[in-house]
Amino acid sequence: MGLLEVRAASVVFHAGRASAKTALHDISLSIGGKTPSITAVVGESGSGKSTLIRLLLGFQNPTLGEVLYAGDNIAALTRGAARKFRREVQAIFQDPFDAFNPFYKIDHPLVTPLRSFGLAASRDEAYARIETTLRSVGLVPENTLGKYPHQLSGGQRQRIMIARALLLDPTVILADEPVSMVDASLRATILDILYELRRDLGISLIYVTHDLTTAYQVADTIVVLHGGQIMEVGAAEKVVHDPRHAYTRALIDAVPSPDPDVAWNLDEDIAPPDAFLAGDTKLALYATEPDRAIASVARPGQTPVTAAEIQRFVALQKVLAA
Amino acid sequence: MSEPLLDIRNLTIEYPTPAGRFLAVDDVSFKIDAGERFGLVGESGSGKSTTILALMRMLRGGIVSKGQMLLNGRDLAQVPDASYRSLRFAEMSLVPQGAMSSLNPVLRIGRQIDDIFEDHGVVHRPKDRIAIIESLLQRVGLPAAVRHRFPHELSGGMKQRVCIAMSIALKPSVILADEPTSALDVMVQKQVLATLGRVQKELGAAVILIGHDMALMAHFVSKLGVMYRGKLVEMGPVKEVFANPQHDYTKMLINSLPTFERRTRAAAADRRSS
Amino acid sequence: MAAMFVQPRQLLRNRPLSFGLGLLTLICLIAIIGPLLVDPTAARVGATIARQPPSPDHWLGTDGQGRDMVTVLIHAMPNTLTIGVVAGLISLTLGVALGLVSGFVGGMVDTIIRVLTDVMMTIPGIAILVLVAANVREMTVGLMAVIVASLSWMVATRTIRAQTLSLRERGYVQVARLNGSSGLKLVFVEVLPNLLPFIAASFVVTVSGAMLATIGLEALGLGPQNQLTLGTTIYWAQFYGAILRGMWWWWGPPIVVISIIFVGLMLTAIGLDSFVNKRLGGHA
Repeated sequence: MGLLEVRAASVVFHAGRASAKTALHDISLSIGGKTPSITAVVGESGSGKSTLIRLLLGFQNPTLGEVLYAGDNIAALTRGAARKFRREVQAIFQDPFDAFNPFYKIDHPLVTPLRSFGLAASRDEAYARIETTLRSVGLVPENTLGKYPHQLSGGQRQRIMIARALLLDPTVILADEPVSMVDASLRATILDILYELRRDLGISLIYVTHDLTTAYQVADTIVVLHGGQIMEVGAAEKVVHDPRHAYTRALIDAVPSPDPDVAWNLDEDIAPPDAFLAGDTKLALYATEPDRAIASVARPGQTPVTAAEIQRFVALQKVLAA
Repeated sequence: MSEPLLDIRNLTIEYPTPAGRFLAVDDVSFKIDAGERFGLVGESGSGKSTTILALMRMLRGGIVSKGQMLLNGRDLAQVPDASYRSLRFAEMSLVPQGAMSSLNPVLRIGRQIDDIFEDHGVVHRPKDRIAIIESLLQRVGLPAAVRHRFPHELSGGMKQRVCIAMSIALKPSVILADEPTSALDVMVQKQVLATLGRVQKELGAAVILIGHDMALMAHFVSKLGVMYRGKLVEMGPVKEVFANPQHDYTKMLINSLPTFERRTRAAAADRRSS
Repeated sequence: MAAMFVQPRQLLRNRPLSFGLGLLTLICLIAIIGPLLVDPTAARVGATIARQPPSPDHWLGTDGQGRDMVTVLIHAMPNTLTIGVVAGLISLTLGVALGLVSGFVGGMVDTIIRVLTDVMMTIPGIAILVLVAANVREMTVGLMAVIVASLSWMVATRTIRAQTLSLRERGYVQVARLNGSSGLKLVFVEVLPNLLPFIAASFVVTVSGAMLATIGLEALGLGPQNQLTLGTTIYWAQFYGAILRGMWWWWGPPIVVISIIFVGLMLTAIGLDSFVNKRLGGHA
């Protein structure tokens, strides 16, 4: 079983009223566990990925289903377990400027968690810890500590945010579009840092983005989200190089290749994104192979699978291959 | 050889700051022919937006200290302010960055398109007015009914296409598109660029596409200029620039493009060793 | 650890702000130092010959009860200012507290506070003030401040609530949550410091409103009976028919001083407004 699990969770806003909106439907995910994993959730705007992020961080309760951490439902944790969850499940957000309170120096979001969670006995100890962590993400503490957010570059700010998350010794880090507002030259570096977190520190990563290409850079498993439902889930290689669901195919076709000679077919007619959803129909996932499943309308006679099962299979394969 | 449509010569734009003069654009020169697609790529602060704003005479605080901008052989610096108003959108139009938020939230789309004609003193017969607006909307792939909508009722991509419709209303010879797709999802981005390409071809207008996404440029423009810290560090036919980048910055931009071919250095290393 | 990104140089360059603050500082200086320089007995009834026009002995003449106008003014100013400022402070504190809680907590608490605020705003303040003031045995400066404050807190509440709602969604608030901050700590440490420009602006507006209400009440005769204020001076002037008698030195000066105070407040508000807008990324 995964460390952070989502079991058949749905999030419906204004449930029971005419204006009810299903932001997420029947989502099952499994993150971490015996082996740390990197899962990418790819979705465009309106796909439900923001709601999923809030769900995973415990800022939103599911209308149906549950979210579990270390086996316990996060909506009903004891005080101690709640603090553990809050500390161990961390996040990095998209906008490296908005993530900092302009009133304080950048030390503030680094010192606050150490104090809140009692991770340092003294100011010196706290700063020693902070400096080590800043160095581990490639920053020079002397050039960053004591400065205000507007005095640093976007890349530096994002790295400080990663350092902040690491200071808490997390088990899971949720990264919401971590490189979309960072200069091109630094994207690869930051993606490397995120990838190495899993390899060197055993931290599982949930990488949420609309950009399939950056997701492919780091992920083991890719989950394609559209209209609050999972369209396709599988090993990253398969989803990108052999997409089976029409939506995934359209998504991949829409990405321009960096090679001008590879056709982008700008003149072709593109179906509007809504065409991929069968109205309000709820879809189920069916496995095409052990490490991939795609969504379709209910097929009587076939057993549906959950994305969590696919994720676990991919993670197991990785362990066996290593 | 025929004269270029737009000829920028040694353009230098400065901003006076407390710390001295800041060169936002430093000795930039390029030519664009009629109907050509030209891309200007660079990261934030490279000066690409400033160049476009200077062309539209919409700079706030910046001064063109050197160089010339010639449109159809006409020196734009000599054009008086009052005449510039009629030049904007009629000969040279702008699809601004964040175009979606430049639509007036309290006016219906049809009314806003009307305003463009009105501002430029173009009078249509009442029964032609609606037909013209509807045909403009259809040319950007939007249903005619959109003219009754308010901006907030439209999606990001639809709003962007409305902005494109507004920019071609007066049939300009140059369309300046400043990051028209940066806030859009990838599928909508393709749709919007396809729209821009199609209307541009129909009009025979030239397009200057400003952006930071080299991959988009690779498939949309025929000539590409790379800006870095105010200077034009590389320029040439797009395939040339990709095949043989001369400047280190261009090389970095091309190499940093994420693809479906490569994974991060760390991931690739792991895969090789496993 | 705090930064306001405010350099005094920057503030002074803002002309309305510096001019407005200058006027207010002048008034406050006169109000504070003035009473120390003039003889308070000259402001007592019957201190000197009544109804004298301005003369070298009495620069602003005397009123209908034999008080030296200059002394009266100088003693009235601190009282009026005190009522305005105290009422403004009470209103503001109430407004900020309610606005913060309402905006941040949301839900039922927000609904209750919002409904209360909106209902109170529709009640005609002057009518209530007149009713209460007319039924109080002895009106003092302190009591006036409280009465006026109780009806001026609503605008501050709404302003602060609106700003809190927007600040609540900022990335750094989410980051603070992940850092283990919650509840009150979140509000006071993360949100409140960023509200300071709005609080400053609200303060000026609230003080203006409080002063206006105060002077209005006083001019109607409902002000402090045994303390000199600018508004009550106007009331007595009118009561004694100073306008008909052409005693412009009685009703004129208080009005001039009141005008200067309000011009000062207004300029400060305008100046602060453009400053706050600049911080929000707008243009001056």
